[in-house]
Amino acid sequence: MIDVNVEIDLDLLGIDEKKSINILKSTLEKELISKAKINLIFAKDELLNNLKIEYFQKDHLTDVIAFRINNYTDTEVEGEIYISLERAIDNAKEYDEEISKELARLIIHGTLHLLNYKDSTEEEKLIMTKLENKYLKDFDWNKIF
Amino acid sequence: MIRKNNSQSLVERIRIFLSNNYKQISILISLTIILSLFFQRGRSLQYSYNIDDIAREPIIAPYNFPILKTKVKLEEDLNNTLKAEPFIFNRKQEIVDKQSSNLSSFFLFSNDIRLVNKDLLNSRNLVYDYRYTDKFLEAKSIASSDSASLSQKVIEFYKLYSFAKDKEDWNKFLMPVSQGGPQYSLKEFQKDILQICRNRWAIGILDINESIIVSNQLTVDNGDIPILYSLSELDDLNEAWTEAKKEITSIYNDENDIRRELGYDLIVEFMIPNLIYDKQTTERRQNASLDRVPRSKGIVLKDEMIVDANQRINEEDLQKLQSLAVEISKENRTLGLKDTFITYMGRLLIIGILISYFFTFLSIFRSHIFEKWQMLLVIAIIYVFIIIIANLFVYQLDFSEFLIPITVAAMLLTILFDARIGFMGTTSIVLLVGIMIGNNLEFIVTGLFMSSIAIYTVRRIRTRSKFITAIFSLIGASIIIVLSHGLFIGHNFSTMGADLGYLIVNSIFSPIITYGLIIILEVSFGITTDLSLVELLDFNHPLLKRLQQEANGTFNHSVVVGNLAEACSDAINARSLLCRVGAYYHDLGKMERPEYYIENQFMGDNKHDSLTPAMSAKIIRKHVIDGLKLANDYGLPNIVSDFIPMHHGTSRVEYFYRMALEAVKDTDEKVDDSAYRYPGPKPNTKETGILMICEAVEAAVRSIKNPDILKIEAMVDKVIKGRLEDGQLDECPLTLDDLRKIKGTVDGNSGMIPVLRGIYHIRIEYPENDTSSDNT
Repeated sequence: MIDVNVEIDLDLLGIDEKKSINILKSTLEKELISKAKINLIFAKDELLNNLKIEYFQKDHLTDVIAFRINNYTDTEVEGEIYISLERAIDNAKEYDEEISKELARLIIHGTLHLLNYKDSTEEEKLIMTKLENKYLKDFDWNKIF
Repeated sequence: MIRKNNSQSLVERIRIFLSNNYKQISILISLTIILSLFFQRGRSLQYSYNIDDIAREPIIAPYNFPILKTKVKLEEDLNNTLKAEPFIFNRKQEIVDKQSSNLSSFFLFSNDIRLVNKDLLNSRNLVYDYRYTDKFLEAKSIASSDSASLSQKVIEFYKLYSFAKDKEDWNKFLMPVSQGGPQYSLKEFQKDILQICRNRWAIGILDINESIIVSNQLTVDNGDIPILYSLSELDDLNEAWTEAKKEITSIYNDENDIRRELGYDLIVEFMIPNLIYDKQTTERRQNASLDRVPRSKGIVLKDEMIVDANQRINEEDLQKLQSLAVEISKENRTLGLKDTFITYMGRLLIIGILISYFFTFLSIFRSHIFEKWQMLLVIAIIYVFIIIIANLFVYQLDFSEFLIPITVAAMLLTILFDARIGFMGTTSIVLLVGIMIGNNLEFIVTGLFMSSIAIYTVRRIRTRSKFITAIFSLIGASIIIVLSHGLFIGHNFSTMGADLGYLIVNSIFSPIITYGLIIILEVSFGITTDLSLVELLDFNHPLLKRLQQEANGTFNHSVVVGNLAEACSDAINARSLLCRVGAYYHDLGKMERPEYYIENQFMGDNKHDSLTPAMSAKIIRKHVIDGLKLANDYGLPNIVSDFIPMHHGTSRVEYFYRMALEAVKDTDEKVDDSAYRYPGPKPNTKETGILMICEAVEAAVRSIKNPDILKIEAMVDKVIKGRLEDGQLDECPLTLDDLRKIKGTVDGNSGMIPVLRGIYHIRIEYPENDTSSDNT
C-alpha cells in the first residue's frame, strides 16, 4: 500500500497533483517498494532554503530536499520530499527543458533519495541520472504543470 | 444547609458579574458622578414654581430672608441711581484768558503781514520808478529783501494757524487795503469775535459730548463753590458752535459779508471748551452710590407663610420663592460637611435610579450591546452631552428649556442602535433633564412626544433625506404639543408663540446636529449605521468592481444571494440592509483564485480534476481567509466582514468530502473530517444566519435540473434541515418560527421561495401526478 499525500503552496497552484502522485508511485513500484507513506510538498524557495539551513547547515537555493523519516533498512518507506517550483522553472529555462519534465525529474530524484541513492560523488550522480532518465522515458509526464 | 448554599451562590454570582462587567460598572459609576456635577440644585427644587401654578403645599419661610428684587426692577433702580449722580466739571478761567490772548496775537500777526505786504508793494514800485537811474540796484535789493521777509512771515503764519492755509478768503485777509484786503475795521471785527467767544465761555462749554452724560444734572466747580446746572443749561462744543454762528449772522446781517465765514473759522479755532470733565471723581462717586442701592425690597420673617396650598402663585409670591431658593442654595454652600454629603448622596441616588432604569433594560434585552463597554461609553457620552447642554442653556444662558435638543439623543440612539433603545434611553434622559431643571412636567411631556416622533421618522434611516423629513415632522409635532399644552393649561397666545418658536428652532437644528454627531461617533467607535452601509451597496465600490471583473460568476451569485437575504430578513424584521451588504461581500476571497469555483468556470476543464480532494478542499476553504484579508485591506466594517467566515460557519466542503470518502471506500482508511471543514466561527446574528441559509439555497437551487416550485421547496427544506442538524445555526438567535418565515410559502410574498419563484420564472403549478411533473 503506497500512500502519497501532496501539499501545494496555494500561491503555486497549477500543478497536476494526481499525475505527480502517479510518477512517485510508479517510481517506487519500479524500485520494488510496496509499502510507503510519503508527503510530497511543492513549496517556495524560502521554505526549502530554511530547511537546508536548519538540517544541512548550508545556505544556498536548492531544488529538492528529501527526508527519510524511518530507517533505510525498514521495508516501509516513510519520508517527505520538498520540491521548489521556482527552482524547477529556473532550471527548465536554463536547460531549455519543459517545466513539466523538470518537475517529473525532481519528483523521481527526490524519491530515489528516499531510497538511499546518493549524489555526493560523480559516480553516484551518474547512477542516479541514468535511473532518472530511464524512469522518465516510461512516464507520460505531459502537463504536470 | 440549603440556605447557606443559596447565599454562597448568590455571592458567587455577584462576584462573577462584577468581574465580567467591571468596565461597564465603572462607566456607569463615572456617568452618575459626572451627571451629578451638573445637578446644581438640591433642596431648592421643592420651591420651583411658575407664575399661575397652583401651590402643591403651604410654603412657610424656614428662616428670615430678604426678598430679592426682580432682575428688571434691580436694573431700573441702578439706572435711576446713575442718573441722580451728577457729572463733575471744573471751570478753567485760564483757558479763557489764554484763548483771548491767542486771538489778539492772531490779529497782530495778520496786521504785521499786511504791513510787510505794503512795504513790498512800495519797494516794487520804487524799482519800477528808478529803472533808468543809478538807484535801480539799491531799490531792487530792498525789494528782494522785503519779498524774502514776507514769504518767511507767511510760512510762519500758516504754520501757527493752519486752518487759514490754502483758503482764498484768508489770503485776501492778509492783503493791504489797496490790494483787496479787508475793507472793514479790523479792530471792530476782532472785538466782535472775542465778544461772541466770551458769551459762550460765560455760560460754559463742556469738553465731552452731551450724549455720554447719563446724569440729569451737572456740577460745575468754579474754584470756590460748586454749582448745579441742569444739562440743558450748558452747551457742549457742537451746541456752542451753533449758538456762535447764530450770533455772527445777527451781527453781520449782509449775506455776502466775508466776515461771516472768517469769523466762524476763528470761532472754531479759538473757542475751545472751558468746562473740563473730572472723570475720576465722577466715577468714584457713581460707584459709591451704586453700592448703596439695596438689592432686596423687604424681608420675609421666619415662619411667615409665603403661599398657602392650592393657591395660585402670583408674581410677588414667585419672587419670594425664588429668593428663598437662592437663600437655600447660599445656605447649602455654607452647610457643614455632613449635610453637604447628605444632599450630594441624594443627588447621586436620584440620578442612579433614573439611569439604571435604562441600563437595566439594556443589560437584559440588549445584552450584546451592554457587553461591549465601548457601546456603553457612547451612550454615556450622549447622556453627558444632553445634560451639559441642558445645564448650559437653562442655568448659564437662561434660555428656554424648549431649546434643549432632547431629540438629538433620541435620533442618535435610534440610528446608532435601534428604535427601542432610542425610546428607553430618551425616556430616562428626558426625566433626568426634567428633574434637573426643576420638576418641569411640561418639559417632560413635550420631550417625550418630540422624541417619539423623531424616533419614528429615523427608525429605518437609509438616506440623508430622512433628516429633512425629520425636520418637518418635528415642526409638526411642535405645533401639536404647544397647542395641546396651551389649551390645557390656558397659556395666552404670546407664550404659546414663544414656546413654538423655540421648539421650531430646536426641530430644525436637532437633525442637523445629529447628522454631524453620527459621523463623528461612527468613526471614533467603529459603529456602522445603515447610512454608511448604503454606501457599500454601490457597485462602483472598488471591491465590488474588482469582484465583477475578476470573478463575474461569484459577483452574480452574490447579487442573487443579496436579493434572497434581503427578502428573508424583511420577513423576520432583521436588518435587511445589513443582510444585503453582507451578501455582496461574503465571497470576496474567491477573487484570489476565481477559476477554482464552479460559478466562474465557463469553459475548459475543471481545475479540480488534477487535484486530490484534500488539496481541492484546502483551496476552497482558503477563500474565507483570503476574503477576510481583502476586507481588512479595503477597510470594510467588522459588522460586514463578519459575514465572510460566518456564512460557512464550520460546515464541510461537502462535495470534496464525498469524493474523498469515495476514494477510500474500498480501503480501511478514514477521511479526516476536520480537514474538510471551514474554520468558522458559526453565525452569531440573525443576519449572518440568514446569509448562511440563503447562500446555500442559492447554490443548491441552481444545481436543480428543470426546477419547479416543489423541487425548490424541497431543496430549501433540505438545506435548512441540513444546516440545523449540522449545528451550524446553534449560535445564532434565529428561532424555528423565524426559519419558517425565512423560507416563506409557495403562494406568499415574503421569505425566499417567492424570490426564487421570480428568479426562475416558475408559475405556481401543483402537478397532479408524476407524469405531468416530468413534463414541466
